[in-house]
Amino acid sequence: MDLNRKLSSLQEISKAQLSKILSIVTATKYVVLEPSIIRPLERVCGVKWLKSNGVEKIFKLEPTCPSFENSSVFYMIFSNLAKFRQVVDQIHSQISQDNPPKNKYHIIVVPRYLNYFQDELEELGLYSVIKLHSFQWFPLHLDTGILSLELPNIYKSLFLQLDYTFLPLLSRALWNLFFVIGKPRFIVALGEYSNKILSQVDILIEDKGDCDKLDSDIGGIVLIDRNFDYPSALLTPGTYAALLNEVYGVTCGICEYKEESVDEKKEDRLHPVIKKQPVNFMLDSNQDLVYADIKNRYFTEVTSVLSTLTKQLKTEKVQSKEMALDEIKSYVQNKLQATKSRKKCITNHLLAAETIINVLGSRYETQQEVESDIIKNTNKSTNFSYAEEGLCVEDDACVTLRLFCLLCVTQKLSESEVKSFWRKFVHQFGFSCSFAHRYLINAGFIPEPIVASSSLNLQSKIRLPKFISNEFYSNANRFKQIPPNPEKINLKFPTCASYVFGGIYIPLITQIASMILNATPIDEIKSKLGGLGLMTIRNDMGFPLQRRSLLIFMVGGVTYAEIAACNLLETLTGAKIVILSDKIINGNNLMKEILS
Amino acid sequence: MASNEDFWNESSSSKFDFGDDEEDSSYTQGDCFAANVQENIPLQIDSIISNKCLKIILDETDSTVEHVVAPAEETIRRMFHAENFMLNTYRSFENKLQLLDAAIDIGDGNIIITVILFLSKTLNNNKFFTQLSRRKVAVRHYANYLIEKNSLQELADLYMATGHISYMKDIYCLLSKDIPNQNVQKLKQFNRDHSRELHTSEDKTEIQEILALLDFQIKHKLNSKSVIEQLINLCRSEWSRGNGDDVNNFKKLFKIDDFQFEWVEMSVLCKMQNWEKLIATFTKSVWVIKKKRALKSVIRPELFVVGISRHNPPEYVTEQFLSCISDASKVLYLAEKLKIHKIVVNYHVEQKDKTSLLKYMERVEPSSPAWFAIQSSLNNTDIKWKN
Repeated sequence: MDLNRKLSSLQEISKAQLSKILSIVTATKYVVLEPSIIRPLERVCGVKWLKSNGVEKIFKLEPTCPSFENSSVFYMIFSNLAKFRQVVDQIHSQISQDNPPKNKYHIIVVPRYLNYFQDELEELGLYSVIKLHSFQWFPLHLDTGILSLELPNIYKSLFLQLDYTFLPLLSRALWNLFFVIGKPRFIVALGEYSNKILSQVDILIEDKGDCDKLDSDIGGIVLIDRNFDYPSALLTPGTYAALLNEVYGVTCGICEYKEESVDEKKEDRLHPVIKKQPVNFMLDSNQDLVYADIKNRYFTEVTSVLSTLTKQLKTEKVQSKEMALDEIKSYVQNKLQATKSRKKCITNHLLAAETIINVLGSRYETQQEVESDIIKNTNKSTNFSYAEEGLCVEDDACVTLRLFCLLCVTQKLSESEVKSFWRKFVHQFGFSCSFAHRYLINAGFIPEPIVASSSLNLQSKIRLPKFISNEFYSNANRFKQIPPNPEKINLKFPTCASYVFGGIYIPLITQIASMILNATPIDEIKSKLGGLGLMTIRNDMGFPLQRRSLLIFMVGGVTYAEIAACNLLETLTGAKIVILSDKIINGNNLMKEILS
Repeated sequence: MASNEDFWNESSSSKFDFGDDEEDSSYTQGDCFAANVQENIPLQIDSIISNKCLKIILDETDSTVEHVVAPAEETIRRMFHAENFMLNTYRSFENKLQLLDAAIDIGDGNIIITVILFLSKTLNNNKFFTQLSRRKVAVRHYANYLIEKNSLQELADLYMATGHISYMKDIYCLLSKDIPNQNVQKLKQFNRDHSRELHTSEDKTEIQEILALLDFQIKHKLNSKSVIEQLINLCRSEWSRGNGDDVNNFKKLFKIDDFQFEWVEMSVLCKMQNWEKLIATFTKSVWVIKKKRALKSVIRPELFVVGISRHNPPEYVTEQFLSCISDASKVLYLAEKLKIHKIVVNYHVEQKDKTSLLKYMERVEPSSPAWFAIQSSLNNTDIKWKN
């Protein structure tokens, strides 16, 4: 059975799970959805399916509550205490304290409710009045070979707050996936969280059951923590899909931007805000053949491809004007619809490309130069000055913080440089960003400040930064991630995965996948990967891979650039690589979470 | 309390020891208690109560018995699988710690918090915080939980009690995130209470600056998100009125970085289209060369030109600042990019480079002043062209 078809059908299982929850109430029900859950839910089951499963009306969660009459209500929210409290307050205001209705109010928490949610209900005397349900959908097959859980806040929780709350849901997702594709015989786990996920999967298999398939569809799996390769998320990408995500933001595989009404405050800003063209399309290679062609191309090629396609359309139009009547009939019957949708696709992509050029164009050249210098480990002081100047010149918190983080991970900044930058940062963007300092320390970008010796607290230790020496460059060289001559990399017809970053850097997961698919001796793999950090390799006679397919699970979010690099590797090796993550991110997403 | 023996020996009252009178058995006989002696010797227990009833009473005795509890790992696993669990059987200190360690081991934040909350309710603060402070993972999870619940006072207690003094500043940041003016008092109170704990001078400075900005805004009834935004608003309001003292005072108050300050100055002047003041503020004459002016700023000249070009200044303004750049190739590059034709034309004329001039002519709009300038240069017989 074709793996892609299997992955596209995963939602049948999610629907079965949701159906089981909804069938607790046999009468008609209403559903109230938190706004941010609507898009992923559309891909899981869609409105029609809900309506065919006894859901009479669907509402959006708003401050004012609609009247539910006698129907049961299912609220659906992401696992967040503030949201939970909002829903509980809304329910509380509707019921009478003396005679609360039973089995009327339900809250479905995605992916799971926490025990202290129940404590909240207990305190309010609502423990038996509101029923809680956990619902975790299967990974969404957003596009060929891309599986995403589309769950928010996982990076923030794991890497910024250093909190284990979401680990079990990641392990449960993987365990669930194994039931469908089988558990591979070759498993690599890199990083603290990847290893914990693996041990939790072991517990689930031991206590709850294992897949009954003898053979796996996947030759091997690599689990890796996001913090093993920050540069892939922080560098400015060059491929079309990645740039779409950078400029517009893509959620659940949909790129949408509505024209905003002119905001007076924005007009007043010193740094002019660049207008974005409104767009709305799905990043789906199966439906949008134009997208399938250009998604992984380097951006400079995209514009020429789009103009060629536009010319083709024009010639088609000209030709159609000269058709004979029966030709027209055949054209209208067979080709017109396809042409119309192609035209719509091309228009969308043209607008998007135009916006990308407008938004990024002005600083793209200098930015590329600086990033190239950073990866080559040259011109450190110029790079730092550029970052500091950027605070005023770009006036964009995410963009400047991102460059700062990149410098911290690669060329390393001194304590005084960090202090100087941070002070200017909070001056520029407000003291409300102060808390981000703690997140930067937790994520390992900057070291914990050294405790003053006059402190009476003898327990305080000097916490060294995680990467003490110039580990980044030695690791990158070990995995050959930095091409010696970036200018010579062919961006038009790429043969080197570094093209995703303009030739300067190859994502780590691509190099690891390459090692495994090329059957590098296992001892060499072990010694190389061991140098990166906490590592587990389980080889149950699964190496060299029996099936030339690999599943890569990136814990903390994966970028379109990394996906494109792996797609190229697929083409070069003839293997299949499926990428699974909690979310598709870009560097600005990470920065927004740091600043939240 | 002293033993009975001591009491009897040291009592100020006259000694009375039953043992003293043992030899004198007649004394006991003839004492006022003598008549009741027969009743004083207790009867045998089985004559006053049946064995069965005695057993009932003895069975009633209430001593604490250590319950046999399921191993901690087992309960944690049940919690992991969302099965029913009971934590209140884990009453001994050892059992509680085993529970906590098993929770941390399995790596499930939900379980860790549940166990921590159980411990916080069943252990006194001292013991609770001591054990927590030995497990960094536990402190982090509890702190995250308290932040989620917005229980900042308890968070402060946690940090203080577990030796995470450097984290106190975080609470300040959380408090000051979005506060209406009334809560400034709360912030000031926090600062007074905990300023000893802020151990780095940067932390102290930052907090003082937060308070200073808030005070400034309250005093002048202004509202902006950041120091720089406040500066921008100040510049606008001050300069439209003419003076600029408050601006300089503000700069000194926050020790604003020169680059940031000058960038704001430049941007606001451009936005207000006050070109004369822009030129006056940012250029100075070079005393050796007449008519040449240099840039008076910490901002690099190229960056300065890029900055002003965003606000579409008149050409003479851009030319003025372009001439401050020393590197001729950079000047050319920027002039071409910004379409300042006069400078490009002059450059090529000075270089006597006819080919480049002709090439550039293609990019110039026909019949524009620049186009005529190029034409006249080309027709100028005095120029000896190199190519």
